[in-house]
Amino acid sequence: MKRYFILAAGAALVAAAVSAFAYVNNKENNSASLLKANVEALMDNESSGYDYPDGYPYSFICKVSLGGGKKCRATVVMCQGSGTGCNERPCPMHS
Amino acid sequence: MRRWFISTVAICLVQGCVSEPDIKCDKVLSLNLREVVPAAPESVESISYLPLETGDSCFFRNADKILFENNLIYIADYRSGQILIYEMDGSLYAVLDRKGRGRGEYLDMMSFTVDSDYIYVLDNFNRKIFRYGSRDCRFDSASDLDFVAWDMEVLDNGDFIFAFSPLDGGRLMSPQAPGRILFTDNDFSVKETLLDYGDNDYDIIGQRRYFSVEENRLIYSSIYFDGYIVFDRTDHNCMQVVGIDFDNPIPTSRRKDPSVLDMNYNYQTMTPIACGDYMVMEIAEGDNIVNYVYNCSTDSFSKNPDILCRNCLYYPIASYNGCLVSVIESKTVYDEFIAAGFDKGDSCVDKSLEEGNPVLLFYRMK
Repeated sequence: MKRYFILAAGAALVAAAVSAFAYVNNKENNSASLLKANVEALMDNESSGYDYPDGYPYSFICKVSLGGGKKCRATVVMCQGSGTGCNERPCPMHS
Repeated sequence: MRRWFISTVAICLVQGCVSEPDIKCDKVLSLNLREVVPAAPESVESISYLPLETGDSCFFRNADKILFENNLIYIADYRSGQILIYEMDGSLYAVLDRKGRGRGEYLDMMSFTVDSDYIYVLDNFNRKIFRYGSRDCRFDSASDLDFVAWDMEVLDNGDFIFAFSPLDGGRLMSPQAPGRILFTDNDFSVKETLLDYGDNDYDIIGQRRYFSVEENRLIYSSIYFDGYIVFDRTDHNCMQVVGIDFDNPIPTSRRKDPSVLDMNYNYQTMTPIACGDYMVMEIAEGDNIVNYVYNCSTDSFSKNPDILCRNCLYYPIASYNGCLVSVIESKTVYDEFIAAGFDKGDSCVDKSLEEGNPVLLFYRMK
């Protein structure tokens, strides 16, 4: 009887140890996955290199006053929605 | 069939203007910049000023578009996301300032137009048109758009006209009706397109404004071709394609090469402003932008003298009741004009400019 009790306690101990190991390992895996996903997301943003990853580069000519009733041109890029990446270049006069 | 015919005719006409000026457009204007006489100020009968009131609730940075409707003046400053509405005496009537993420708020203001009932704000980030009361600016509704657009106007029958051009370096997230000009019904469903583009087409640069209006005339232009199209707002199928034959145009073979913008080619930088017999254009000449005035009655061009003088045209942005309308944005500019011989405005003009408020300059044309 005593022998059975010792065997049962041993089996329970082994089962608990295995469960604890699996739990910790799984938690580490989840943390690692989460960390990996975050790093990848950061890398995606950095590698896209866009101010607006979903922007559309809308370019136009901005008029800059020169004095004497004259204006010169500066090319400006303003990001609009529904695109696949855009960096802005504001107007030196009106930004 | 009718739609196909109109599209085909318009494309043929415009292609003709671009690549072979000898192919007949409705009309071709020959513009040799070096031969144009510096007589534009002589077309001006008189000038007047209108100081615009601003207030703590609004911040005026730039007048991107001005419309005269409902006996009010609507001035949009896209960057700050505001439309300032003025009485005809320059007093501030109302401000539409609903930039945000809440109900009835736009993330961005790309363009706007107005009719007797509503102000319509085009927001490409939300892909929506927001509709507000034309006088009280109260939010009415928002409608989904299944296209991106750069400018919009309302037609007399309640339909709309939109402008879009695929631009260098841009790629749309989802495909849309392939027209540079899109006509929609009043629910913003595309009914018809003009100047269709192919998968690999793009313009090397866009324009801050693709449309200008003068009573029933609605004018469109883009760098896609040297010229402009005049639509009748009461019947958009009635239109005139006008080509401009520059002596130094961007060569057809280089129309997709953005480096040409930094060369000495001539091209329009903005849609012309119509005012009676006159059509005022902005043309790139080297690094400068120069106003050229086409007089339909004499079929001739004029420009400003090289040195600022009395009644020189100062980059008109709109047209109203026989007048071209410009914006004087600073006291420095105004002082230069007075020193050059412009009639002086009353003390309110000085005061307004000193306080940092803009002033509208009206050129009544002969």
